[in-house]
Amino acid sequence: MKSLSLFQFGSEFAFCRDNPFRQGRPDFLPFLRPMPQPDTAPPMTLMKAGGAVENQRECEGCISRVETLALSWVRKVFFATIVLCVLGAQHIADTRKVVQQASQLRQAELATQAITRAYRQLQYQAAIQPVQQPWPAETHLARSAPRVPSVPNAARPLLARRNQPTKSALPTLLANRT
Amino acid sequence: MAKATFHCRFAAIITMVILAFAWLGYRLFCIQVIRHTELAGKARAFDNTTSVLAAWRGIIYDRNGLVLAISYPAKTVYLNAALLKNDVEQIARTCSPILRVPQQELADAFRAQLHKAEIGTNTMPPPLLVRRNVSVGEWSAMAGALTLENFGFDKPNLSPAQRARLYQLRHKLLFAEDSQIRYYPYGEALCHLLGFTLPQRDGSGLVGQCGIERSLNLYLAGIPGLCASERDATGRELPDRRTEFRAPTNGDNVVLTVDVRLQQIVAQYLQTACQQSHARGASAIVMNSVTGEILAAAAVPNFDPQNPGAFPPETWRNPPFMDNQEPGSTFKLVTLAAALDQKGLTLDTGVYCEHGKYVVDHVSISDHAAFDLLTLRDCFAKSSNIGFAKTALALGPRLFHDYATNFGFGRRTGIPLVAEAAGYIVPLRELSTMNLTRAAFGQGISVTQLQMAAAMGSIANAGKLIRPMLISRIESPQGRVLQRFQPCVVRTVMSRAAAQAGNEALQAVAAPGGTGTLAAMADFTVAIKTGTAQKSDKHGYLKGKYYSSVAGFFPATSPRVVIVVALDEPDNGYYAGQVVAPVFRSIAEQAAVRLNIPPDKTLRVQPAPIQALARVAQR
Repeated sequence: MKSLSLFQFGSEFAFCRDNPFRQGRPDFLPFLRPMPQPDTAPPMTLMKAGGAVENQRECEGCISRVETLALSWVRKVFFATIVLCVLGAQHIADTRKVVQQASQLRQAELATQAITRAYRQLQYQAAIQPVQQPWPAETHLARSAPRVPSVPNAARPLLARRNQPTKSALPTLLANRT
Repeated sequence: MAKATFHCRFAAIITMVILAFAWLGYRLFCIQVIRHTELAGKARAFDNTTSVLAAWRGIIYDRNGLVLAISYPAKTVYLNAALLKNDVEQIARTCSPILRVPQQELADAFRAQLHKAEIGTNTMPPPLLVRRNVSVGEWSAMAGALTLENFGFDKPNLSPAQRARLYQLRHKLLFAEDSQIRYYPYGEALCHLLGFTLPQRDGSGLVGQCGIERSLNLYLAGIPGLCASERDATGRELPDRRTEFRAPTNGDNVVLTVDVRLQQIVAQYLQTACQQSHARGASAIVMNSVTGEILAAAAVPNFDPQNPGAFPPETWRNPPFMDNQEPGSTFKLVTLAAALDQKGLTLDTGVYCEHGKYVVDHVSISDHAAFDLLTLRDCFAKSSNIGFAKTALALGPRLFHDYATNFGFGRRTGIPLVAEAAGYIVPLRELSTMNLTRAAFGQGISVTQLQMAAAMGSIANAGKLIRPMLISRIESPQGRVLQRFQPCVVRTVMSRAAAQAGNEALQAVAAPGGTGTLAAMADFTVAIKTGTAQKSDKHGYLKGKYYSSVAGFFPATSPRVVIVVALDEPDNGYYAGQVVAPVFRSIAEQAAVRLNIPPDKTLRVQPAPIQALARVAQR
């Protein structure tokens, strides 16, 4: 009955058991009233007659069956609520954990994306670098001509000629046509 | 009395609670059971989101590892049209300088988008694509600039509604999605070979439209991923609610056999030749005769692969691989090879050339000069049509047709380009005397430059036809080789002796007295054949329109490189020996330097002055 103290509604509200106006009133639900216990006690002396009245008073202040029922339900609901709250709190904690992990996953994904993007950008920069450098001139090309030892001696003058400005530059076409 | 009131209240409360729970239960039943399908669908439509994760397109390299095509990250900027409402003009005015789009154009696009929403079933206008291919830095600048705009809310004290509207406009009006831009570092020099890409409509990356980009799209594009998930009220994805996640598989890298440096040189020469001869177009193929690797394949007019839409679609064609042209005299190579291989003819066999005019099947064939008796070598060197018409008659249609098809004409070479042309060879049953005599010198048939290069390569390779190669290997994004392409001998089309004789005949063309003397190189022996074909349409041959080409290889003694060059409708002289042969020589000289080919010509060593003096002293 300790839990009953949780249901104190305040000083202005008199609970059924303590309601002084409850005594002597016509019963609203007589059929739900607990049946008076058969008096099996030995006949009392007059001295103890006041005690019987007191006993009767206590019996009248007893909680009704409905109240008992309601209280027992309230008690059950209360405990169920406590259990559900605990489970709910656990669920919330789990969900928070999952959401947090998902958030971390998302952050990691975004970070990976950013790094990948940066890598692609660098790759692109590296790819265009050779293009931005000027092409070697034709003469440079000719200079990088075969350094082949298999060229016979007879061809030496030819190699020497190759180092001169090549005749194969673009004006060839015009020159030949004229 | 008080007890009765209490019981009344108690019963009333209990009843109310029971009724409330009953009502809740009823509503729950309605929602969960009766309207389950409808509401679940609505919830799915709002919460569930399925996004395509674009795969990163692979890189295309040249044979030396230089990047020919690469993708780099960019943003596609959208405008949240749901926020436009009645402020179209104001928003267009504000966004115009940020997006760098004319204000009027922007306003018109906004109205069109709103109109779309009005006539459609969906009352919410879809996002409006305002700019593509925006760099990441540019997007950051755009988003930053937008947050400083006041959108006409310049009053000191804004109402809460106005403040909320301003916040939405500043932070939610524009949004961007990740995309990629294809970049071609060598631009127009490789445009025909590589092609170009366009973004796919579903945002799953880029798709190749022509060239290598299209032909190898399966490898380059990769496999897009998928993410099916839920989103929160702000539209952010909830990773813990993912029902399906498939990571994208990035595209493979492709390594071509092309030497980009040589390609640039060839493209430059073609451009110059085209300008000087006022030709409609020019194209060339440079191929390694030993392996069949294509080292360069260029054409003009070209286009900018970054912005292909600015050029007419005709320029997107790849002439060396896609254009069927009458080859003209270069096809005499096939007739010669068949004659040398099958009929026991030699290069010294005499052919009477009828003094320049010969009538076959009531149709006359003429030569460019009045030749009488020529050897087969001279017929080839001087390009006598009559001589080769007679040779073809000696061969017969079946033999001629067999050799033409064995050389690979009339069918695709097997190069991995989807749009490769097959050319046309007159079918055997239609090969009448007239058709045969004309086909013998390259009329009434069509070939591609690639086929001609392969045929020329078979002479260079002692009669073995090598399959041209454009792809060297395919690599995974991590660099693992997935597929390596090897040189492949298709078949032996003629005997070694016949090929050797053919080589000699080809050398005679570039020798004095031949039609291709301007192709002769100082340091290398050259084997070529010139061809000047009159162009035709459905009404017949066109006067004054020629397709001039030169096909050959060098060094003739130890062939390394096959080159085929063609000018389409040259206006400033049209004989191939005049206008194309010099281009051939220029390209060959640069190829020799680029590929480190040692010279094969032995020079006559002039006696040194001191030796001459010694001789004089001896006397």
